[in-house]
Amino acid sequence: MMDFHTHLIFMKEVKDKERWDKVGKYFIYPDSKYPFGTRSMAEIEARMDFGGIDRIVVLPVDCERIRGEALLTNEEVKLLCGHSQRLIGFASVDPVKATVLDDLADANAMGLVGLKLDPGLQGFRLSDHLDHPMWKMVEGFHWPVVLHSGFTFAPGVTMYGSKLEEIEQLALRYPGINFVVAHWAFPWVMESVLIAIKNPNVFIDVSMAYFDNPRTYSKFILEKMISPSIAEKSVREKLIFGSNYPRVRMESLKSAYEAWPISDKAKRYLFEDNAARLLNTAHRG
Amino acid sequence: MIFKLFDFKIVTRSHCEMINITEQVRKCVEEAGVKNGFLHVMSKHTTVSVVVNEGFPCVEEDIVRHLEKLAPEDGDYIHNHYLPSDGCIAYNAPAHLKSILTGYFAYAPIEEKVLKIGSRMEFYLVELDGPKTRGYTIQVCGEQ
Repeated sequence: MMDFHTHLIFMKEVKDKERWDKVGKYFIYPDSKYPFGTRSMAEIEARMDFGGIDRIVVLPVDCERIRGEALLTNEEVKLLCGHSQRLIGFASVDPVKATVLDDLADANAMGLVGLKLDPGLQGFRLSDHLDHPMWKMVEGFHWPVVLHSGFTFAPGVTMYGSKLEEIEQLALRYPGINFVVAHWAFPWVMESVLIAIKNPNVFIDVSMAYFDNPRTYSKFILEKMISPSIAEKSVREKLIFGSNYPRVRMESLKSAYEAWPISDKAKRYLFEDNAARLLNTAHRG
Repeated sequence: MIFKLFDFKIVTRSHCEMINITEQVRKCVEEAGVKNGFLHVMSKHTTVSVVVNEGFPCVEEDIVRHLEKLAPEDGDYIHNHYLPSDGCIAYNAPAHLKSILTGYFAYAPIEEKVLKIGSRMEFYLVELDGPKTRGYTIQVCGEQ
């Protein structure tokens, strides 16, 4: 069982409190009276054990150019992976940086197995970089690419920072790359489903909850934005479980999706097989 | 008069669980060297409580089960919304409610270096919103 979308931030193993406070201010809370404390790998593994989650994908975001501090660097992801064999490390690069191709090559040499981009948080537009040589490099690595899409709680970042239409353009241009639309592209859930139905190389991660609680939120998506029939018949091979931890607790969202009235087979695809399929492709590189 | 503060951290293993810390409390009394006085055990969290009760697993289970009935996880809570200070939705109202029902600290007197509690009284840290890294303090006060 795999969680395909986590950000292991506030980890004491990789940054000190002062640097995490900088990340907290641009990613979580500009001015909170209750800033986060640091966390340990022991706590993460305890949470995974409790939730019955075997492995998690750790996603960095290279937003250093405009935020001053990356959410996680590729090196920090590698470092974290050294603390637990249950972590699967992805890379992030900034296409605006002159070093981007070298950064990609370094990440591949480090053993990272996928790419995460959050254009809104990173301060670029996908549409300005559709022909960037990095895509051919990513294709050569056989890496899946997770793209933030839709709404975000990140302060100062609009929900239009990474549009679905740009992702579809990428998917059409690079049929050899598997793209994962993060967070159902909420609120454009049906649009993301349609794009995933049509394009063999587009997947959806079901991470995040923006209101109520994980169970009510995931039920809202199933009953009000798509339907159990669509989930079962049209996109069961396209949905990938992810939590977006720490914004949502991985075990809470897992429990919410376990309650969906879909077949055991569809749940197996959701919680394991679809993600494994993408990662096996990655490992082939 | 001395005041000795002991700080502890623990990684809890479950969403809701009772962790018996009685031996740790006794060790703090011994280490503080207080002859006559008192102690407090305090949780550092609003979703972790400290209680004193009988030390049987069945009682522990009943306490957890009854708290769940009083503040069910799938209840209808105003707290379930986006909190800008946390950057996410809050959905741990049941843990806050269970915490106020059970309390965040416990007290016990010390006489002649001995903890003066009933024979069936044991100290528990109660995780109500785990698993997480949790902190608690034991403060021993009195004369040597």
